[in-house]
Amino acid sequence: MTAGCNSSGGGVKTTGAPAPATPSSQTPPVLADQWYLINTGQLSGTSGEDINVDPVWASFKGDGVRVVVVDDGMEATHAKLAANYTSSGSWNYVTNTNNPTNPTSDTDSGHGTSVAGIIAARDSSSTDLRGVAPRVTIAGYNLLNNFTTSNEASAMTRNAASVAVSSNSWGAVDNKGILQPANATWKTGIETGLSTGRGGKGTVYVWAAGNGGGASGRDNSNYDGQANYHGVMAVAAVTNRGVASSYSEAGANVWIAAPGGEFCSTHAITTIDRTGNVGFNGSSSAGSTDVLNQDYTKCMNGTSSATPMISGVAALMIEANPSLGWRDVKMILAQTARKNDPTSPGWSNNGAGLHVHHSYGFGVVDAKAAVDAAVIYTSYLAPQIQYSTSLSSPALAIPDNNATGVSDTINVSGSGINNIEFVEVTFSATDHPYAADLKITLTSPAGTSSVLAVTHSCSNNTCVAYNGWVFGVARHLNEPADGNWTLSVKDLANTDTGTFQSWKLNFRGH
Amino acid sequence: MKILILMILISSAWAGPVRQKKLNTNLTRHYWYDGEVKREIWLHADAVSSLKGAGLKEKSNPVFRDQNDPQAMSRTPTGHIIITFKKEWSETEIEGWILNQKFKRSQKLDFGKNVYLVEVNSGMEALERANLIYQSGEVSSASPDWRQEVETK
Repeated sequence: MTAGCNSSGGGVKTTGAPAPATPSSQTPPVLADQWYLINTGQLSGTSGEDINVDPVWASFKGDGVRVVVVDDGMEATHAKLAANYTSSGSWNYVTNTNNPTNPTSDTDSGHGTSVAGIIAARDSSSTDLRGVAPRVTIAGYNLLNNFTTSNEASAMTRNAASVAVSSNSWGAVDNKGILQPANATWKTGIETGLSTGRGGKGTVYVWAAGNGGGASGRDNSNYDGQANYHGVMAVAAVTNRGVASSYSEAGANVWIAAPGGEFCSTHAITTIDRTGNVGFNGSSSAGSTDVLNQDYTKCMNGTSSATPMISGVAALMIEANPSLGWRDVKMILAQTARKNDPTSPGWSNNGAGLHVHHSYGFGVVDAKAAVDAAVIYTSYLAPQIQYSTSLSSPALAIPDNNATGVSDTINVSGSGINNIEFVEVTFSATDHPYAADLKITLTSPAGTSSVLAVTHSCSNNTCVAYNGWVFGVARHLNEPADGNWTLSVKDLANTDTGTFQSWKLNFRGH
Repeated sequence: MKILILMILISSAWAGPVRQKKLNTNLTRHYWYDGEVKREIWLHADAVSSLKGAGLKEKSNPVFRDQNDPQAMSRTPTGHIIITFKKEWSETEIEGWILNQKFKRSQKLDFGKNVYLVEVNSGMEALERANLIYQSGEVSSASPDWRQEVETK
């Protein structure tokens, strides 16, 4: 997502006015412009509402750790990326070569380069613009320029043995309000990366929670089959005051949050842009709505921006402790995340004492706390086990436009899971013609409530029925699985009716 | 007073926007197998694929929608099929099976186990043959290789 700095929106540079002769010679933005790294209250933000990464750089900058940006290309020769870029680790799905740089004829693909800058822009002084992990090894896969099912799975596994982090600021089209399942082949790719990535430690998959949220949005991250999947870490976005960005999707699957900002007119994310008059910052925006130097932009935003921040922090953690597995990284991030927006009524403590919020997951990432925890980490997670319940088929008619609704309880015993890492809820109400009417809530034995779906609308009034849809739930981290789990289903809008047909649970944990 | 009562009756019966579902007479129902899951798709006869990608013969590849709605998410078969063979099959067995099917080309993919990409003559043939192959029970899965609509966030 870009913040619509220019009238064309969507990150396309307008070319109506003559381009500056040498845009790269203009003064570039500096570290002080990157409020998400060090928030001193600039741009009317709240001091301290950042990812607290500055103290980490004295010890760790990502050396020797490889992060792949899966996106619409990446300018390998950008002055701020070239020193960190690996050609052999990159792939171009259009040309089948190792160079993910967009051709100059492709003027509108700048997203991947800006994402890469958030992770890996190289530092060359104490004050210049940089990425979260400014010495990391960065690779690019331009999957989105030739997106097929087979390429999608390939991009999750290519070079997996050496990929520590896969950063994914893309996914299903937002704001449709419909269930959008992930492809089975993509899941196969993720599972391959989890088991074989980084020498068997597992690639850490970081995923944008989605931009279809907020007051005018239809989406919840739980409707997105990729962000909702157990093998990825869904990332929400916050502003420079530490509250939810207006577009960021909530969900029971959201793991963590990071700055994504709002819009150019207020504050977004300053990062690199494709060099010259291509990418986001065009001749009509440079020096007016955007920064003067067209090799940079201050208009990046979205959960697209929040995601690479988590990718960068994960890289710093892995440099600090290369023995961490992908599950260890997730666990540390959850346990060290900061309780932002602390007066929000959406916060609760789960049964394991972790603070959790549908809009923020376990909170905003705290890089210093996460890296410190990684350094001294010894409680590596035992091998993950799964426990599945049998299908419960209550076949309950869901009363229309009724706040009481219906519910069903499954008793879990002998699961062997004392620490849940992720819960999957498979739910069916195939005869309900307007699935968006339903509010669905899971309550654990510890009393933690997780809202899986809220009443909303579907684009063009065409919903996708719940037919074995799998909701991913992060919120019960470290709770025990045994006990009574209750699923409540309410139809909170009139006209359409249906049946709570069936559900089951699958636990992953140790 | 009558007017007031009528207004109360109307307001109590109306609790949201009217859902006007459009008739989509130019969409026809098809299906495909995503792993073991059978998914419905709708052929949009009038549409031409505009999805980004190299080498796509746009006019020869049909556009499907994920719902009975011409504005729903679109997908276009590329003319390839992703086949996952059973884990116990050897490479020799797989190659023999592929040879018998007379595909145009095939390659082993670098994820999962025994996953192959094979090429047929057209997108529609990819959909139909993938369904037949999966329904034969000989393989673990067979899906068209789709070009799909996704977006940056």
